[in-house]
Amino acid sequence: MNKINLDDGELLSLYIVGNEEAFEELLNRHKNRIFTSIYLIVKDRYTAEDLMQEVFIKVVRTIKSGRYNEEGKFLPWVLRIAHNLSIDYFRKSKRYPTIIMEDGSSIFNSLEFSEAPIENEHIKQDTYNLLKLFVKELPDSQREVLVMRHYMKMSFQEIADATGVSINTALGRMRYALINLRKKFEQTQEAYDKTLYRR
Amino acid sequence: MIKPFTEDDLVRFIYDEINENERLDLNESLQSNIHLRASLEQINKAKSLLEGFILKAPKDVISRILYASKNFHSA
Repeated sequence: MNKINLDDGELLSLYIVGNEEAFEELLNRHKNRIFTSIYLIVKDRYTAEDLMQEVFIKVVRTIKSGRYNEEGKFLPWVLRIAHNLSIDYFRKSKRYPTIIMEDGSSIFNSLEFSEAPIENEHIKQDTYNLLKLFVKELPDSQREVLVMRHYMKMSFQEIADATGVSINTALGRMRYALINLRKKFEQTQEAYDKTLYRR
Repeated sequence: MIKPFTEDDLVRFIYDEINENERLDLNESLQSNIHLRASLEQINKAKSLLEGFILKAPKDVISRILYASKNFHSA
């Protein structure tokens, strides 16, 4: 059976009755979005990898023990688990000093991007690397809303409920996050142009 | 009379969280309000930067998850 044409709910039903290929398709379909969401919250590659695995162990355990009752809404459910575990980790980690390795830069630069176009690949790669840095530099409250809305596809009302703020605060944080990102990009572009076209 | 729109309304607009009536009113406002149009353009630019920004989940992590699923035994 061609599983690519099946929706998440159908794949999940197959997985519940023991079809491992259906789980593989579900995982491949959503892995990058889930990993990106986790990474942008915890801001560390290795922690993101551990949490990604932890999230899916929880998913597998819940489904295989017959405790799954989300009625086919697979991705929002997994993203909710991912978000909760990432936020837990992030809050705990803030209570302890961060250990920075001597070659710390490689931790942040070695991740690959999902969609690397053939044309202008280097420019795109540079842009994404900058974006990764700028997103990580955003204040925690803005970065959290950005990840929840843009990658986890939560509504602003859901974000407001999950973070304990009003919907206007959630909207404001998202707006500032977007404006900050654009400003940082423009500043970088201006600095680059000045260097390139210096008199 | 059309209600005045805020920049937060523009954020709801680009993330498709406004109703049909608001959409019509907002489109009308954008025709005449140059500042609103400029604000929309700015946040839209930022949103479009994020569109292709998806990291690749590492293969070994995916392999470990698939292995765990295949070898799961409930207690």
